[in-house]
Amino acid sequence: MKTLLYLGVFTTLMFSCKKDSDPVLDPDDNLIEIAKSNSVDGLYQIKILSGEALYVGYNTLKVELKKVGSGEVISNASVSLVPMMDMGTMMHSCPIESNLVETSENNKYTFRPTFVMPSTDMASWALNFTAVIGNESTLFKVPIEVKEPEEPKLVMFEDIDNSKKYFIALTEPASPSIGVNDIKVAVYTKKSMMEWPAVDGLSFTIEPWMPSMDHGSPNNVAPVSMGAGLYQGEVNFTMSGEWEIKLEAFENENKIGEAMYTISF
Amino acid sequence: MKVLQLFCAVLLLHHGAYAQTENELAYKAWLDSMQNPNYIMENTLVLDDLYFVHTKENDQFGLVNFNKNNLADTDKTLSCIPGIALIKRGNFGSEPMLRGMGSERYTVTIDGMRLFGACTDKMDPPSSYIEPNNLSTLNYSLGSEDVLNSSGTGGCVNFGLKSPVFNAQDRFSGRAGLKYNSNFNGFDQLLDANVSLAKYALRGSFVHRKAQNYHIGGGEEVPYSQFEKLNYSLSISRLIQGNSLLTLSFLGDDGLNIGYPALAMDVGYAKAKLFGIGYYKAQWGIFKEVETKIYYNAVDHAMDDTKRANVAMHMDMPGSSKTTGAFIKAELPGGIKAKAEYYNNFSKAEMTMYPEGEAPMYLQTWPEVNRQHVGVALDKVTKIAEEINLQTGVRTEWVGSQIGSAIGQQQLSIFQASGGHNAHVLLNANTKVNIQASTKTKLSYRLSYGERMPTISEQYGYFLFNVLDGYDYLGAPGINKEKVVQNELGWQYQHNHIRWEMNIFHYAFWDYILGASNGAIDPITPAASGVKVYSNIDRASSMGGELSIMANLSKKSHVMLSGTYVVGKDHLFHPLPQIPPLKINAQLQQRVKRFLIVPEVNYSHAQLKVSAQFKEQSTAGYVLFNLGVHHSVPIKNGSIDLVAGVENIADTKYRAHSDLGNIMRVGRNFYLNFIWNFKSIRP
Repeated sequence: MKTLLYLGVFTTLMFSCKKDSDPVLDPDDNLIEIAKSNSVDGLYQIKILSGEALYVGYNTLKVELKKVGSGEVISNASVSLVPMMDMGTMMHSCPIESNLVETSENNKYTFRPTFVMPSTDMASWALNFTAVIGNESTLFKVPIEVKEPEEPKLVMFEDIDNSKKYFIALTEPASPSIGVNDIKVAVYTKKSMMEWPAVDGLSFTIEPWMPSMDHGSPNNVAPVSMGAGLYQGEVNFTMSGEWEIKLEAFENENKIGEAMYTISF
Repeated sequence: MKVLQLFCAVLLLHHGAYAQTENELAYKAWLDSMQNPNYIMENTLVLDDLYFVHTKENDQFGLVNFNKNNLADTDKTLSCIPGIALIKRGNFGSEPMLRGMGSERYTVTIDGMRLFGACTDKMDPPSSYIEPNNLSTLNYSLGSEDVLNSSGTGGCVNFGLKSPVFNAQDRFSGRAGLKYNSNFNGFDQLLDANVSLAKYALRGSFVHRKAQNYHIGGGEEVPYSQFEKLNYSLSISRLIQGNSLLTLSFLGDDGLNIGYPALAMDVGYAKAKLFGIGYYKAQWGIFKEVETKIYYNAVDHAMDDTKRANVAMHMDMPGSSKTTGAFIKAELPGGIKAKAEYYNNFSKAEMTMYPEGEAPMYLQTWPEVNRQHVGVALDKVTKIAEEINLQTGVRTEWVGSQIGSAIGQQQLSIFQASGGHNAHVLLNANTKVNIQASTKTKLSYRLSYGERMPTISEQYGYFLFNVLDGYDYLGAPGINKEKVVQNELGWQYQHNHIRWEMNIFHYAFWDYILGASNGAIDPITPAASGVKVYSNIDRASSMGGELSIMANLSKKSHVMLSGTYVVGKDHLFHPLPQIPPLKINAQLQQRVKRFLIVPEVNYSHAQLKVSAQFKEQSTAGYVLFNLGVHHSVPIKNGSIDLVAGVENIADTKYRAHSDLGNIMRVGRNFYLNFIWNFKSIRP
């Protein structure tokens, strides 16, 4: 009986201690390894991490560089990225928030490409990094897999005279919850196979909708331009479940298209 | 059953005039003095152990044995009080209205203990968790009069529970009963027992009710109107040094499979558990009649749509309410009655909807709200002259409210509303002059000021669908308390074989809490017409009166008549919703040999003053006829009581204006009630 009691007290203590001392979460803790590859010259190793498997849409990549052999972490390089899709007959790149990163955080370089199509048997993605380490330039060519997410995160539309393609990538809410959520989109256009510039100065309307209940939510804030193709607003979820978010895009007060996303939580 | 109504009406006029052995009477008086201050005695129904007396000498008016009627449900017990009407959602758990005011505006206590229903749709008013079998008194105040019991604008109801009885004569007593209702094929069983020892007394009780669907006038069956419930209690008292009493009590009530035809969902279960420890001391230093109590109660409630046909989307809606409290009550020197109390209520209600092939949808309709109340009340009756006395009371109460859940805070943030945490101070004060104008006439005038807290639904409710107007309701965290000034005139007259009592009242409200339509917000309920947000409307008023007349036609026949009328208006002088129309009850008590025959007529006028804002329709008037026959057979060590009767003889199809969902009430019902009273007399 006494032993049981002690055990009870012990467990209680243990659990209460655990609760009290929640460690500060390292944001990098939840990263998974996407790919690992040696540089073309074989001197350096690159490791690509992300919160989840890469998907069509706006992704955040964390990149680590190490010297092969010594394992020395390279944290002061200047790294650039050109994502490349090889479709056999043609090749193209995709939008990227900033393709040159000169500082690392926690020994990691962050890139935010927006993949515009998934990998298939006939079409494969590669991430081409160029790292300037000291005065030497080192090249990496890392094949990766890009999946179509269950719910589309990227919407493409063409403006009224089909002269311009717009890519609207939903970046937030990444972990939606009941209540007020930040909504962020990144907007790009396609200028050429290799040029995918950000689009600023659009305006949006926002309408979240719960199709199975046929209702929306009040007091949403339409995303506004923050520069670098990013737009930020607020979306309100009155309950959990499956929500559709409709964004209508306007340029100079003319509607140029709309994007619809489904968020389920 | 309508004899019960008669009984209640009689008691209103002839309270206290019942025959009991001296011993019991002394004990009752002692208990009553604990529970019911004399000056509100006129609003107290004594429900316990009244003796039906057969001998001609004692053949007084109104001495009807309540034992026979103990299988009446609490609804019927309440509805016999002039000024109280019921809102029905089915055949179970009606919500009482005091002078046209719903449960938001009055407070309910059970033996002084606060208890809150756990259903956001008010399917479980506190009165649904008790049985008349367990009640010794029903103490109510219409309007903010009883400061010792409550703060509020509409009054209060206190259900006094039966305590174990110390009885010098009967070591063991009790009763067993059966009742059958033909209309809904309902069987009720009752059993209770009291054991009295030298220092200890013990009381246990058990009630079971089960009913099938009922039938409206004309015979049509109302689907989803069945119910079943179990009620059980156990209490034990210990006498300490002759002048103090310690009582431990437990009461449980389990409602199961309760249909609510007026609503879209039924109830899977509705369970309440009440625990209390009470201590009473007749004299403690300079304090008299010191009563203190610590209590806890938990109510768990779950709505259920699994038995309904054509459910568009299955949903779960559980709710729970837990209340912990304590109070101390005493008479201070100078005849001042004082009470200090504290209680904390926790209310949580959730809704999860399950669309096919999609993620479940979850929200919190009561976001884990905690409320603390700390109150102090003083009350005193002062004799100004031989014929005039003045009763004054004052109460102040601090109430703090907090949203307990992160989800609740997040929900609130959508509306950019602050006030997840807030506090209110309530003040209630009243004064009443009683004048014995002549030997026959007694007049009274009361002026009272009352304030009430917004309910949890009114302050924090989140998309609560109201079947009355078809709107989803949102609470307003910053909502103000509601205030009322009440004026009331009373006139009692008694001469020879006639007695009447009349009250005329007027309530003027400020910051009256009512839902206001908000077109900017979408309802979440697919069928809803829109969203209303609780708000304070500038002004509202309510006025009306009650009248009871009783006359002895002969030694063997008595007539009683009662009428109630109330009009409610909002700030634009539009009618308030759910106001009952003029109602008149007339009863005859005719004694024929050993039988008491009680024909009765209930009249309800049509209600044409309807609230357009609440999409109310006018309701037709109706007349109902009832007949009851009572018979009591003394047997060795007890008696057998038989009550038989018919309710709604003409099988009239009717509904009361306040009822929800356009559902008709119970049609013709034959009932038979059998009670065996037993006791073992000490050698």
